Amino acid sequence: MRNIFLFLTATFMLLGMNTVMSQSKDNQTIKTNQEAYSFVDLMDLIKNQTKLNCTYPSAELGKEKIYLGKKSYQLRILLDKVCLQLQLKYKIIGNQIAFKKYPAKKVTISGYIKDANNGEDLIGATFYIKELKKGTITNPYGFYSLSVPAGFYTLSYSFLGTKTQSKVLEVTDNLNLNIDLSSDNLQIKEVVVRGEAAASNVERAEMSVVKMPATTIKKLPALMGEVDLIKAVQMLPGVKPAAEGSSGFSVRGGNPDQNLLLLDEAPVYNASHLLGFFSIFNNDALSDMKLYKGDIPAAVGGRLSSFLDIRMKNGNSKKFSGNGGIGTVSSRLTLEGPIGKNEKTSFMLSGRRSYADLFLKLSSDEDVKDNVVYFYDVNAKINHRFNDKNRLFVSTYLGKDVFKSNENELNYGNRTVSLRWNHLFSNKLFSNATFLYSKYDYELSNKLGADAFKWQSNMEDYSAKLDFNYFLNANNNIKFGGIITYHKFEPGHAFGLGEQSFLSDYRVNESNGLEEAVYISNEQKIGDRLTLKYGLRFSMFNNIGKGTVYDFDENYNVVDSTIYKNGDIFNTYTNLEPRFGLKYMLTPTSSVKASYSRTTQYMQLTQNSTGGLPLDIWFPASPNVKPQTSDQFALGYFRNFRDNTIEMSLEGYYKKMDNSIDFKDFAELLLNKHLEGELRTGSAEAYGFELTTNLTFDRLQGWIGYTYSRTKRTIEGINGGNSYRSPYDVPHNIKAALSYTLTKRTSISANFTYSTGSPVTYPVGRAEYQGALIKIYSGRNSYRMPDNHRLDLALTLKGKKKPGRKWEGEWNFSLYNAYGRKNPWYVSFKQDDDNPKVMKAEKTYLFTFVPSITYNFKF
Amino acid sequence: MQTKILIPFSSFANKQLKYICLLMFTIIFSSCTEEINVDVDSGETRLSVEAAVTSDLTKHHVILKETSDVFFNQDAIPVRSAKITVTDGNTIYNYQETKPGYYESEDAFAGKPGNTYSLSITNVDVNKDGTLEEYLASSTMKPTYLIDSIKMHFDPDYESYDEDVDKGPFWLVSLYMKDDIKTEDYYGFACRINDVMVHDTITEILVQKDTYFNGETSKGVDVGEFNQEKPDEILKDNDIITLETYAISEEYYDFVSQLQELDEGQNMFSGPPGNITSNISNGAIGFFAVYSITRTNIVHRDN
Repeated sequence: MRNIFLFLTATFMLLGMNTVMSQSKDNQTIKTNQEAYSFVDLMDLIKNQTKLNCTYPSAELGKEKIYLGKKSYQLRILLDKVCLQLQLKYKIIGNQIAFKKYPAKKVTISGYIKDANNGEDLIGATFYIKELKKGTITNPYGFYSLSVPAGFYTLSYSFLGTKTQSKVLEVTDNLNLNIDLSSDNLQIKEVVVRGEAAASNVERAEMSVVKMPATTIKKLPALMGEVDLIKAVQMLPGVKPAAEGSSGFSVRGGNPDQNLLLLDEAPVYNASHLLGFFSIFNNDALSDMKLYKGDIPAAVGGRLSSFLDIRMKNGNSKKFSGNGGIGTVSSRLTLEGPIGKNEKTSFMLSGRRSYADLFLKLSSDEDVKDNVVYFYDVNAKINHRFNDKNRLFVSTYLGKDVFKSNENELNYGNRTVSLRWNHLFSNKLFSNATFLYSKYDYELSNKLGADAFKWQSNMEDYSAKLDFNYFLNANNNIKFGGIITYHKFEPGHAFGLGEQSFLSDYRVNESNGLEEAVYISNEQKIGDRLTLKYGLRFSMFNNIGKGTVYDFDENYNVVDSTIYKNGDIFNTYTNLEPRFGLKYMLTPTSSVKASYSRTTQYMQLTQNSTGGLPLDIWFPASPNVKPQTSDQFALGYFRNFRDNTIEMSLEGYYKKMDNSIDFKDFAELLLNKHLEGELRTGSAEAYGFELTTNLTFDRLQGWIGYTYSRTKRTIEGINGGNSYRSPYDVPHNIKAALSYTLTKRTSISANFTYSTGSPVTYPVGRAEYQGALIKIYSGRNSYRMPDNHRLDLALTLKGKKKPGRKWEGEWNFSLYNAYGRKNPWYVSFKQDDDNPKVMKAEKTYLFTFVPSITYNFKF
Repeated sequence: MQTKILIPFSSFANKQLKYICLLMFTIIFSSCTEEINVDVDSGETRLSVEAAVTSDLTKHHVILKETSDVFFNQDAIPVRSAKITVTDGNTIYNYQETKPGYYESEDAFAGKPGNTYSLSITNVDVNKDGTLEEYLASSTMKPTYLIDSIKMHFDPDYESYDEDVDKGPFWLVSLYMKDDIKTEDYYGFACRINDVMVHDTITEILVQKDTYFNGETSKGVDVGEFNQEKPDEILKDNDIITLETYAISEEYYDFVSQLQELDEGQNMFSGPPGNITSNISNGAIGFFAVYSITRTNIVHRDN
């Protein structure tokens, strides 16, 4: 029913909108026999066919062209077309058609765009006015606003091409229009294409950005059927997984700790479960994600390389519904629905738990039997719309990993809370006030014997943030705001457990920091072709007491220390971070874009291994550690084909990073009061290009990309001060992620990835010493592991939809590493067991042919 | 093979974690190893030095060898005809080559705590460029540690931290002593059975620093292990067990722990490998170790 209604709205809006007149006159039929008419000629034609005269405000109007095609029209439809094209209104009085211009007046059209099925905000949905060729996209809360001259317009709303709606409206006053977009809508071709184009890769002013809804992530084949946002990100051109089965990734040659991961705007400090094989993001609880590989907006800062913006679902505000799945690794259940009857409040609650440990109980091996290995996640969100001007969101994430044996236990996890209040000061000024909390902690213990101990580490963030979005006019979109964050670091505290333990209490000094930033940016359209984006972010970091600062000599030995009192601000860094971008349309389907962004990073991770450990800690800038900075320049060419169903882009970048950090050989990074003495600093450089093709055909969807990327570091005290490859220097990389709908109920998908082997340090010589061999190593990262490639496949079978039954089931079969490539995870050199004089190189590999089955359901 | 019981928190935790990972992979995932061919360049030939002066009254020795390519499959080539001296600032001790590449001090002498010993190696041309090279090193002997007592105890189901060693029956040596709170102390431990050194390779020696137990009593922490499934470590009634406790320098501690770390090989959770430190000049590999020894004996009772 709804669809028919929408169809009617869309098509017959044309009727009667603009006229006060008798039925008979405007029902007359006019035949056009030319493609286009000048206004005067058209009026003559009307006069000939209907005997109606016309008056119009100015003589210049007479020469304006009107495009109608050779057709026959009802008079009122024809007149509406004229009015839309020339921005006029008309009245029929007697035998006279009187045309009038709209008064010169600015009006603002604003509102929220939501999904008609579940009431979710649509982020990045397009609002487009066909006649003005002007549009805008919704912000992360689904809000849009566009100021235009009063007039008679075709307003088109669309989201990812699949959901479209248009209205023809006379807009003479500010208009608040909330739109529910339905996905199965009948499409009005000409509107769709133009409307979608406004959001297409070519027309968006931003570059180096990939946006992916959770539904796309779900289609990709996944390791053990565990749908994973981070693994989807790792399939994107320009992104390199830190290692196979790792949740870390490198963007354009950056380090894994240079990616800002925000879950509903709260930072996530360790995104890994089960040592990285799965990420903490339960896809069922998410609505979408957006990765900025460069061109980072001025509103965001604190990391050098990338920004991954992850949004949780708001919860279905239309009806109670649920979905879930039973997989090889975990089971999931998500419930969502409205609270109350008026669609003002909705909630989402999602949980996931692994159950590998339940199988351990079945093992006959006593050691295995008593082990506990599991992880869980809980996502919860509630949002309430007080009125059209005020809306509140509260969301939280809680997750933990637990490994436990008789003697030992390790657990770690994240916790985030976001509290956001959207307020509309006017239909042009949108604001969002945010309070954030984030925590990452771990605990490791050994219960038995003289070396029984417990080791704890914790870090917490408290932030307050205020963001404004001022939709000044159709050509200027201004954003400004600020953020203040209090960081608390408790890097490590270890102590002996029980009377038996001989270990003493050891505490790495706690530290505190304040990170502040204010920013302003504008996106300005100049003419039809050029869009400029410019912004400035001012950021500041303060170390505050209580804190201890060690002084190091040139050999990195501690010579002195200073203790600062509670609340003392004893060190401050400030940075100006300009951000600039431009887009120039070459043709309606191609554009060039350029961007420059400077980013600063005030905290970093002690990650020294490629895999990364849950024990790695974040440490702040300090008198001994200068903030890292990065300057990135990027240039891109964007071209779309076949009504934007094929999007192609070529982007090149160059990045220079200063105060880059690496660690000395054999660095002791954990439980070390003098951690800063293990650091070495210098600079890093990265460059490359990404060639991406995105396909959005009806049946075939996905992307294919080639990336060339180089990155090297020059750091005093490492590799003799000579430049060396970063561990993420991987020149050639091909990635493809494609899905194909075979039938209504069956679809297949495939991932393919190929990359040059990762840089590695190999021994080139050896020496004998007291019965053992000392390995003599090459320069840092001067060798490469064998090339890495892999194909993953998945098949999804949907159950038959049964009328009257809400339950929909779906089977997913996936095969990871389909041709069983033994990609080296790491390479180790060991002495042969039989002949210790012989040294062997041994690769360890994971995962050849991992099949899995998952059953997903929704109701 | 190697005794790693008393281990500082960080490496201890890493081990635990590795163990947990290992467990996970065997159960949940399938991780496998496979020998691969790797082409590496030849490194330049350097001098490898194994030299020590201890508090024992004995003829101390120095072993000189050449370094080789990593895939060389023979014993290292000895470096012959070197001129070696060790001095404590007052006396110069000359060394003589008694076997190819094996040099012994002409006279027996005991190193004294507090003395700084300097090693000089000349008359060698390891890189064969026609010019003779000179290698120098020096190190100061630390005072001996005071050990209160040791005890033996049996664990039928002991898990050695060495991944290559299966769980099984072990005799363990428990240590009772008090660490000096005022000094930064570095310990080495090795054991003898009836005066025969069992922990004779460098990877079997347990080294430890007092960061995490500074000033504490050791409360019987295990510092030596005898694998009862390994022929040369099987204990019999009345065997005399000797625990040797070495007072080593920070540099030697770094050297041994780095060597042991590299010996275990790389894995996913280790940092990039690097070249281990040396206190010998001119790019030589190895170490001139100077340390004092405390010996503690106990008669083994097999019940």
